[in-house]
Amino acid sequence: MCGIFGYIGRGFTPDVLLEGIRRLEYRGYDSWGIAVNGENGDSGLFIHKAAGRIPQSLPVGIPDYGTSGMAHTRWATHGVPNAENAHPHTDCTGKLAIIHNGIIENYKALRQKLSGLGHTFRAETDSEVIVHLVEQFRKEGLELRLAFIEALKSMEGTYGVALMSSSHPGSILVGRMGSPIVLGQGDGFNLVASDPAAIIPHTRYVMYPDDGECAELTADHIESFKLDETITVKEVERLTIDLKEIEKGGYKHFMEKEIHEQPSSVQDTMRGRINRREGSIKLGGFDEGMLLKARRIKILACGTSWHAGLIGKYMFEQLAGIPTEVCYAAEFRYSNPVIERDTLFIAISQSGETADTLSGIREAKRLGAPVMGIVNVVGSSIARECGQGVYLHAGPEIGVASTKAFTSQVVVLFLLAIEASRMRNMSLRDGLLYLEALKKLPEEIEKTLELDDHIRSIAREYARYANFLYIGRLFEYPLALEGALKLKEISYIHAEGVPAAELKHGPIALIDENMPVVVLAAQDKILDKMISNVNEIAARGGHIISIVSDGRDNLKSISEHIITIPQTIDPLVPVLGVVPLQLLAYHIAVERGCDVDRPRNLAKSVTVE
Amino acid sequence: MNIVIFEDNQCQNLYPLGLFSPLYDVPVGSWTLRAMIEQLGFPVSTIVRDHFLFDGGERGSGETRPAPVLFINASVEPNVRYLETIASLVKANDPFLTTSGNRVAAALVPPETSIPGDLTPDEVTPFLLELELPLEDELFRTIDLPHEIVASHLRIWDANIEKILASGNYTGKQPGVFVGEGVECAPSSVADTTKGPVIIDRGTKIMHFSYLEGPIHIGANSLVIEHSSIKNRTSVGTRCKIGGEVEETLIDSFSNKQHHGFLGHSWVGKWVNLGAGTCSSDLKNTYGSIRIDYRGNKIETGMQFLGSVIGDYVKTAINTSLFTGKIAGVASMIYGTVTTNVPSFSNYARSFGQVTEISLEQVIVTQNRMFSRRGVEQTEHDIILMKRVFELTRHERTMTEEQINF
Repeated sequence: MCGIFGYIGRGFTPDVLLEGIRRLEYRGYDSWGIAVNGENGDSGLFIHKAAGRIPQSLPVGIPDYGTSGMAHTRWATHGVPNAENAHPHTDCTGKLAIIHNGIIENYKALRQKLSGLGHTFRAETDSEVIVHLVEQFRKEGLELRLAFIEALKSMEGTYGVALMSSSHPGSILVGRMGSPIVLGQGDGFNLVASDPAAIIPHTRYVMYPDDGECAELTADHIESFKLDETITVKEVERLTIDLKEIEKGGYKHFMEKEIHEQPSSVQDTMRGRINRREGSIKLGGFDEGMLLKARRIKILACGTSWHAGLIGKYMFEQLAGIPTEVCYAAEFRYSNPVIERDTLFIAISQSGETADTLSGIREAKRLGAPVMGIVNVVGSSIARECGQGVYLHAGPEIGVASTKAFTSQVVVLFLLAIEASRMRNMSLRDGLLYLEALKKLPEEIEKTLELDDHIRSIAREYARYANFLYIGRLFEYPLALEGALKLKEISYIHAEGVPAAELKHGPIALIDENMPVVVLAAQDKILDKMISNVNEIAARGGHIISIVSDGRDNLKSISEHIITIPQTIDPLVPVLGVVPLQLLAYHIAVERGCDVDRPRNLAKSVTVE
Repeated sequence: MNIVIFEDNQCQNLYPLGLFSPLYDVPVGSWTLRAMIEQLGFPVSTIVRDHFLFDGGERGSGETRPAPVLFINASVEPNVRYLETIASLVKANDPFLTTSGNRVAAALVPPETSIPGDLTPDEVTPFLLELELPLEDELFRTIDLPHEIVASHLRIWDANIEKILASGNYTGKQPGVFVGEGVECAPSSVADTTKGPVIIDRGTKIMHFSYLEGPIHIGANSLVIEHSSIKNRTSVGTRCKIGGEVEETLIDSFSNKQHHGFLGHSWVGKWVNLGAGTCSSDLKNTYGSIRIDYRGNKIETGMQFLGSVIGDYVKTAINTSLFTGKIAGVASMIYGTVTTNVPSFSNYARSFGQVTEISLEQVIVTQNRMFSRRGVEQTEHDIILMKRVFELTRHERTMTEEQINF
């Protein structure tokens, strides 16, 4: 998965390109490259690319001329991260260049065919075939736009692609299929990017091409058209996200900032959705009849979103009595699933671009099931594919490890569960009690964040351990999984989350003086059982870090460290309970000198399967 | 302290109850909610549905109501035990809100609150919920569906009857039998008070060979005809004529069940006439729990014994048989065997192959005739109300205009 950025028109400089991909670096950062188009065809395209992180300033030798350019930040899928495999890729003449985000599935066959026609490939990537295809169609007499179209039609897979030609310095061609693309409309300039984050510094007016649509950008105009060349008219939308929201706001890392943003992001998630007048929830954005009719729910998600989904499962079952299953989206996609009637699918994804989840949605729709999405990024692929759902309104999440999106996802799932329950048998009183608990959440998250220093000191003590265990029950079991994932993601320590009752069925063999165990015991219902688990761990020399609710001192004497979070109702314990886990993982990673915002081998949004 | 008894936005779930009188005036357990609340001695005002408003009526003028105000839902069952709870809540004067099922049952709104004087039933609940008052446990039970009025009547009976006895002007006629002024009991009539008192209000006549098994309460100026059997937690309103066998049933005022026939575990509204031989079954052949059809949804009542809920102004022909758990809509005329609910303002002769809409004019004429037989004058308000209720219940009728002529 990668980030693409292109700029044409007034105000263009190569620095603009660098800044653009820097804003997209969270999408991928193992190599980068830029292409600059001169004022006339003779000067050709200037290309510079390199492995490693995007520099703070342009290397020496990059020209300061040019009327248009494009840039790319890469997350490798085919071909190792090096300069050759970095984008932009050029054709044999050096006059055509492309940048690409996505995967071309039939690239091998195309590469073989093009090689047979005399094309010389320099890289190992799938993307390189795109520019050679265009070159081939140009050789066959097609003008540039048509050659571009024919190239796209030859490919199978996904692309968000931009093309420049030195013989056409006044335009950038763009195509979209399955990868995100947003076009920015300026005054005397236009842009293309994978993400609005790169657009916002220049303009707030954007258009979103659909899959199978292309566009030609000039300095003054954006013309959209389909692969059959019919011109399409795209709605211009105004972006409302703030640039400040994207910047770090005084924190050392985006992740730290986003952890601390959770009181306001959770508030924003709930804003306007609590219907006190009926003791219920009013979400909008989807056909409520689906929720009323649903006899089963299947949740599709990956990673942290999957953990949120698992919490949602308990919520739907315990509150609304709706049987719920949580599927890894990729597993669902290929498993030939059995879908019963009146099953509602809920797809969860922060970015709305997760390829596995998108495929799962498409499979569910193919099987005739209604689907709704829970997504953070407005206008993303999953949002569009579902056509209905709930946006998190959590603001942009830049840190690769998901934090505030997770808590907002859990809150949205809770809102949905309340709405479904109130449609069924939940009394007005219970509805009001849950609304009251929700209302207190932002303040309670704020109180939990005050534990930051305490958690930092715990983190320092355990930063050098090689393994961690996280245990929890019911609503805190998915939290155990999430805590372990957070630690793995950013500190590279192996960690495992297990249901507390499962400890004795195997994992307890791992417990010794080298094993810290994070015990999640903030729920009322299961405290007594957790005490037994903690005693078992203590007896075997494990280091116990317990997270408990205010007023519950039962684990104090047998834990090495106690983290006390405010009391709340059991279904909302994960929203508070995850904050110490996020902080713990964060501080351990910082202590170990890890790159918290851009951990190795990971990208923010996984748009490949 | 001011008290506001309010109808809310769920009243229509209770039809045919509350169509001709606000729900706080529907008798349950021998009492009405309004009468019970007035016992507290505070000023009481009401918020009712539009069709009860005449000439500016009871909706406020738009000025704010003086707080503090205790709001009580008109569907709260008039359980005398609630009086004590309400009195202590008023005394504490701490704001609260309490619910019952899906409804706001009561709320105490603090003095600083601005309360619109013209709140409608649709607006009261959202208004109270938006105040975010401290939430109490569920203190008061509301009647949410028609059949629940029967269960409520039986549930609250024992406590209520003690209160009625204590607050009424009765003389002990014999152990367990308490009568008002001018009550006549034929010497051959028998009262069995081993299970509870027999209370007979002023002016009522008990005819020969009647059997009265307490606890029962018979309202003023009524008639219990000869050979009747009135039993166990039955409440009869004022100016009624009752015969045959009646048990665990409430019959509202001005209604007649003057001849033989069984009526059990039922609720009967005002101005009803049950023809001779009308029987209402209250027990299934299988002795199982009774289900009631509400607009196509079968609700499990959880009740083994449940007769009928018969709305105001219903008339049944001779030998009409009502199966268990049936609801007869207001002003319907019923013939033969009743195996389904009866729409309001219908000529129900399903067992003869016809269910048609009765003409409004016919109903108004019939009302006038019945009124005049009791020396009651039919007023313009009565006619307007009848017309409004006819329109309100139009959705219940999906049939032809054909009339049955006998």
